[in-house]
Amino acid sequence: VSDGRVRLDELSEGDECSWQLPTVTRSHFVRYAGASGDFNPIHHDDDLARAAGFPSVFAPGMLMAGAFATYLTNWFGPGSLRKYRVRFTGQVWPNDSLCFRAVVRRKNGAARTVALELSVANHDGRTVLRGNAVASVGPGG
Amino acid sequence: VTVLSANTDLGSTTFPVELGKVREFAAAVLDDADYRADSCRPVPPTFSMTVALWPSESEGSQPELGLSAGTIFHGEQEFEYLGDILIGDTLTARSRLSGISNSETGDGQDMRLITVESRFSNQRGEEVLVSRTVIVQTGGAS
Repeated sequence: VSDGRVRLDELSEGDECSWQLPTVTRSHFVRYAGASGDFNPIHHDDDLARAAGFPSVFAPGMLMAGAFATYLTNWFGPGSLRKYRVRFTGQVWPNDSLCFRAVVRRKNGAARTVALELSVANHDGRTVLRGNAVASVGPGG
Repeated sequence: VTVLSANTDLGSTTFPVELGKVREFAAAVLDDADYRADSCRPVPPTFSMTVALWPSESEGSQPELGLSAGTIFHGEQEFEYLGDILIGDTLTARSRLSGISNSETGDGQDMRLITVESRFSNQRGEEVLVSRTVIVQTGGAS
């Protein structure tokens, strides 16, 4: 099968994959707000964000969670996620650059799944998201 | 004053999974896959967030949680995928308050963790997704 998806026999515990989002912009925030319907103004109104004590607007957490799900889908294939959990641990500001990192923690050959540990760090090395996921993986071979 | 208790029914909402909305959402989460009306490609994994804030059609609704926007934020999000969600499906989400607990922030402020669980079924009655949202409320939690 050459559909570009990773196969179970290509994965080992400890393997990792990472993706870069070089520059996060206000356009990302606004596009996510419109698409999701989450119009919390703290993510698009700088005046309001500053009045609330923040230096500027910051990203909706689900923007990073959604992008991470996209990267995982590109790696394992559409519909491959069985579980996906994220915890938001820090804010993402305009012009941050982000590194998304997934590590294979367990591989279950019988169930054909892998358990992944997920994290997103900004350019200062601060972790802004932690999570875990279980993905189904094709048998390969 | 709204009294919050675990297991409070937050009502249900029914909505169509539309191609245009899926494409718009996919673009927002950096997914450049070619979604088509007749494709069998499941929607993006976090697509269900597009209905998380819809007003409920039946008894109970999020505004009745009595939360003020300035003091709440999204702390955690969890999904369990039980089946595929495809363009053209009609989903019904039933939500309930599944947990409330009190804790402290890193700098010692009181905070309250509120978990809302939504269970999504398709037009055939098959349960396809469970979503759990943890909302964190700080300052004035009572």
